[in-house]
Amino acid sequence: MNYFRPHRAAARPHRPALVVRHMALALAALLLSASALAQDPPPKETTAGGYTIHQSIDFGGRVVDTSGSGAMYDTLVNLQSGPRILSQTFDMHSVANAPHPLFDDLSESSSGYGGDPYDVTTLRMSKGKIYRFQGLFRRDRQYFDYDLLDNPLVPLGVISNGYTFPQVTDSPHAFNTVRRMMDVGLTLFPISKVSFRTGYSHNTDEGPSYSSQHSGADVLFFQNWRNSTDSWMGAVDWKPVSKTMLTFEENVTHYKGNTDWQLTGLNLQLSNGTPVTLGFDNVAVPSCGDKNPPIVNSSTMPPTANPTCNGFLQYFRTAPTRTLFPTEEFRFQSASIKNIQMNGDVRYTGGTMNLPAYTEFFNGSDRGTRAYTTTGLATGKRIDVSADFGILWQISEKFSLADQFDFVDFREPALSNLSEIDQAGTSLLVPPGPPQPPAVTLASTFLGMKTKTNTLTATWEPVEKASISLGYRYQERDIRWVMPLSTDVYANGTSSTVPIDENAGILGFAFQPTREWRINAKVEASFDDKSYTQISPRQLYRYHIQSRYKPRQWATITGTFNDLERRDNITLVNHLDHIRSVSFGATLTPNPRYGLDLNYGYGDVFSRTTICYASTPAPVGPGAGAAPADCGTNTNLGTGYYDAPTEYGSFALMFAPIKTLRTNVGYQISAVNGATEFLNPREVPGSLQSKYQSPFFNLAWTFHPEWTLKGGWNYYGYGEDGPVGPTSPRNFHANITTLAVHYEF
Amino acid sequence: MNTTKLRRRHSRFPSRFALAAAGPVLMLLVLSSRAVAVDKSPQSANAPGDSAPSSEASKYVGAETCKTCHEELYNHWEKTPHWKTTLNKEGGPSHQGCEGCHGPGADHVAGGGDKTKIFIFEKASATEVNTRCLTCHVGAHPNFERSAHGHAKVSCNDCHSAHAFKSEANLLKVAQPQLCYSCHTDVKPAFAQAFHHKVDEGLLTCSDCHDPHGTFKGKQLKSTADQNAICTKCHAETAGPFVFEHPVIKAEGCTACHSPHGSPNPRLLNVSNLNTLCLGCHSATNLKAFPNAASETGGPVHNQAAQYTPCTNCHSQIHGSNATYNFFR
Repeated sequence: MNYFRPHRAAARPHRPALVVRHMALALAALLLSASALAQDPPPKETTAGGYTIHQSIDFGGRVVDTSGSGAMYDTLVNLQSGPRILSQTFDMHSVANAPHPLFDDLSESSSGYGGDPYDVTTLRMSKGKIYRFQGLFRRDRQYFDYDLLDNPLVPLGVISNGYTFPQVTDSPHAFNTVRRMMDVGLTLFPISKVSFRTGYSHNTDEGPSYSSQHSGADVLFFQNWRNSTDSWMGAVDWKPVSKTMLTFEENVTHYKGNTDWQLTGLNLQLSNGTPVTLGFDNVAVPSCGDKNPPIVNSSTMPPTANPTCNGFLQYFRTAPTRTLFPTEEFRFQSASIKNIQMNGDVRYTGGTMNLPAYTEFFNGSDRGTRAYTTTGLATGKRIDVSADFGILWQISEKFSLADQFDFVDFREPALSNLSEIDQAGTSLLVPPGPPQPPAVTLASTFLGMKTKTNTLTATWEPVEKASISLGYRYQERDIRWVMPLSTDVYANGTSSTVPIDENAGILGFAFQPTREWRINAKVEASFDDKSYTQISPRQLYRYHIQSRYKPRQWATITGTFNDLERRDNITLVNHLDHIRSVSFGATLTPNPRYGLDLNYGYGDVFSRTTICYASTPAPVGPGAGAAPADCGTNTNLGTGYYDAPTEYGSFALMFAPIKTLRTNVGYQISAVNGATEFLNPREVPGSLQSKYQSPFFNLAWTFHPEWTLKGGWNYYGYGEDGPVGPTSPRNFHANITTLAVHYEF
Repeated sequence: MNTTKLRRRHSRFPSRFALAAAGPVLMLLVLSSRAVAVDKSPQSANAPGDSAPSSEASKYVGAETCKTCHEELYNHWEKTPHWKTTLNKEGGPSHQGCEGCHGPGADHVAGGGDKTKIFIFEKASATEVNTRCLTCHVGAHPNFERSAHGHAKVSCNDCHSAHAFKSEANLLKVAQPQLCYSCHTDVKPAFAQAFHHKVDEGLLTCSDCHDPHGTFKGKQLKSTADQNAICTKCHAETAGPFVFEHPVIKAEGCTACHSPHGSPNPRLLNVSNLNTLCLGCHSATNLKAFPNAASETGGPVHNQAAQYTPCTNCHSQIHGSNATYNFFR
C-alpha cells in the first residue's frame, strides 16, 4: 500500500540541511536587497490613479524535520519543507471616495501558496451603489492514513506453506485527495430598493484513495475520486417599504460523480504467472475449494496461490452519476409594523439523480462464480418542500413573545434496474464458463420525512440588565421508509412509518450584573414518545451556563459549563450518553507591548448502549456478558461503553520589548485518556489514549518601516499511551522552522 | 403500512397544532386590530432608518461637520462599507454618514461635544445597540432577535466594530475563529483535538456552517441551497439521493455518527470503535427500542473476534448506494 508515499517523498525532501542552506542564501539575498531599499524607503501606502494602494507579502519557507510515523504526521499536520508565499495582500481604495469607472474598493489576500496543504484566496470589489463582488477560492489536500481505521488487525504469523500472510499496516481506507472550492457572488445595486444577486460555486474533490469490497475475499480497491459540484444562484431583493424586504431566489446545483474503482493489491500469482489476490485481511488461512493450502509454492516471486481459493484477478466499477437540484425560494422579512419583526420562507427543491450506465466487472472466484458483469441504471428524486415563519412581538417594554414554525417534507422515491450475468467456474486457472441468463434485480425504494416544529417563547425583561425567557417546543416527525428487502417485521416493499412526537421546554436567563459582566444560562428538557434508533434520545436534558467578564477593554475572561444528557432507557437498550464540559479563557492585553491568552477546558464524552454481538472466543473485560434470548443467534451482550475524558490547555504570550520587535511564545495540548469496550482481543485504544501538543515560538523584527524579518518554530507531537496493536506505530514528532520576510509597499 | 396509525395522526394534527399555532395566529389578530403604524416613540425618533421629519432634519449636521473634531475616525470610517450610506439620498440625513448610526449631532455640536447628546454605542445596552443596527441590517439578519445570540443579549458591538475592526470583510473586531472562541471557550478545545475540521488552520471559518445572526435551524446552522445538510456543500458525494439510503443520515443527521468540530477519533467519529458505532443501531436490542427496526434483521451476526473486520471494509458505501442495499458497492 505505497500509492501514497511517492507524493510525500516528492513533497518533503529528506535533506533539511540543504534546504536550510538554500533558504539562508535566499534570506541573505533578500536582506541585502532590503538594505539597499532601506536607503530610499517607499511609502507604506502609495497613491496612483486616484487610489491609495497598499500591498504586503510574506515570502519565505519552511524546514520540516519529522521523526516517527510520517503517515500520521501527514494526516494531522502535513506541512512540508520548501519555499512559500506565506501570505499576501493587495488593497485599493479610491482617494476620498472619488468615483471610478470599475471599482472604488478592491481587496485581495491569499495564503499558503507554494505547497502548503491549505491555500486560500479572497477577493472583494465594490463600486458605490452599483455593485459588490466577493470571491473565495480554497484548496486543501486531505491526506489521511490513520492506520487503525478500517484495519482488520491481522495477527502475526498466519502461515501457509512457508508463506506468511502480511499484516495490514496502513489504513485500507487511506485518502490523498484534493478539494478545490470556489465561491463568487455579485450584488447589483446593493442599497437600492431593488437589488439583484447572482453567484456561482464550483467544488471539486479529486485524487486517490483506497476502498475495499467483500466478494468471496476482502480485496483492496484503488478508488479514484472525481466528483464536482457546480451551483448557480440568481436572486432579486425588493424593499417595497422601509424595513421590509421580499426576495425570490433560484438555485441550481449540478453534481457530477465520476469516481471509479479498480483492483489493487495483487500480491500473489497463479501457476501461469497471472497476478492474483486472495484478499488483504487474512486473519486465518483462507480455505480453498480443493481443501489444499492457499499457497502452493512460496518460493516463487511472488508466491503462487491455490487457484481454487476465492480471489480476484480483475475488477473495475464505474458509476457516473449526475444529480440536478433546482431550488426555488421565496423569502420575506418585515419590521415595518410597530413592535413587530417577522420573516419567513418557502422553498421547493425537485432534485433528480440519474445513473444511466452502472458497470461492474469481476474476474476471479467467489464461491463458484468465476466472473460476473453487472450493468444497469438507477434513478431517484428528492422533492423537498419547506416553509418557515418566525415572528417577534414586543408587547411592551418588558414583555415580548416570539414564535417560530418550521415545516419540512422531503421525499425520495428511487429505483434501480441492474442486470448481472454470471459465469461459473471453480478454478482461477480455467477461463470462466459460458454466460448464464441475466439475473435482473429491480429495486423500488422510498425514504421520506415530514417534520413540523413550533417553538413559542415568552421573554420577560424586568430590568434592563436581566431577562428570562420560557419556551415550549412541539415537534412532530413522520419518517417513512419502503424497505428494499424483507425483514423480520415487514415483507419486501412494505412501507414502515415511524411517527415521533416531541415536547420540549426551554428556560433561558440573560443577566448583566454590571456593564462588564454578562451571564447566560439555558435549561432545556425534551421528551420524545419514540426513537428512530436505539441511540436516538427519548429524553434530553441540556444545561448551559456561560459568563463573560470584561473589566477593561483589554481584558476578557470567559467561562462555559455544558451538560448534555440523552437517554433511551427502555428495556434491553438503556442508552445513555452525555457530553459535559467546563472551560475557561482569558485574554489580557494591557498594552501593545505584552499580552496573554490562557485557555483551559475539560470535557467528557460518554456513551453506553446495550448491544448484541457475536464473538468467539468471548472477549475479556468489563461489560461483556452472555446474550439473552432477545439477541437471537448473537452470543454476547455488550455495553457499548465509550468514555473520552479530554483535557485541553493553551497559553500564548506576546511580548514586544521595543516597537520593532515582537515575540510570541505559546503551547497547546489536547490529552484524552479514554476507554471503550473491546469487541476483539486485538483491539487497542489508539487515539482514544493520546496526547497532541504543539508549542511554538515566533519572532518578528521590523528593521525598516517596510521590512520585517520573521522567524518561527512550531513543534507538533502526537503520542498514544496504549499498546500499538498489529500495525505501524502512530507516534510522531515534528519540528517546523518557518523563515519569512514581510514587505509592505 | 399501518394506515390506522396514520389516520390517527392525521386526526390529531388539528388539535395538537391548533394549540401550538394559536400563539402566532392570536398575535396576528391582535396586531391587525392595531393600525399598522410607523414607530413614533420618542426614543426611536432619532434612530436611523426612519425618515426624519422636516422639523427633525435641522438636527442633523452632516458627516463633514463630525470630521472637524473626529478627523482620524472619519478618515478610517470612509474606507469602510458604512461610507456608502452617504450615497443613500432617499432616506435623508437620518440614513447617512455618522448620524446614520449615532443619531442627529446638532445638539452634540452645540454642546461643545457633549457626549450625552449623541448616541454612543459603547455606553448603550445590547438592546439599544441591536435595535439601532438592525434598523438597516434587519433585512440581512431577520432571525437575529430570535436566535441564541439574540436571547443571550449579545450585542452587535460584541463582534463588530464600525471603527476598530481587524477583519474588514464584516467589520469584525477580531478575525474568526478567535472572535467566536472569545465566548465559546467550550468549542475551542474541540478544534485542538487530533482530528478536527481545519478551522484553526484558516481553511474554514465558523460562519461556513453557522450563521451567527440566526437561522431557522438549531445551533444557528446553515443549510445548502438545495436544502441539504450544510456538510454536503463540501462532502457532496454524501448528499444523494440514493436508491439505497442509509436512512439515519437523512432522518437524524450527520451528527448521529460524527462530531463535526473535532474528535479524538479518526473521521471525526463519535466513538473509537467503528463496529461499536454500527452495533449501536444494528443490534437485536434495537428491536425492543423500535419495532420497525432501523436494522433490517435485528443486527448482524458476524464473529467480532475470529473474523474481526471493521464494518465499512465490506459496507464501504455507507453513506448510500445506488447498487446494493447493503452498501457493498
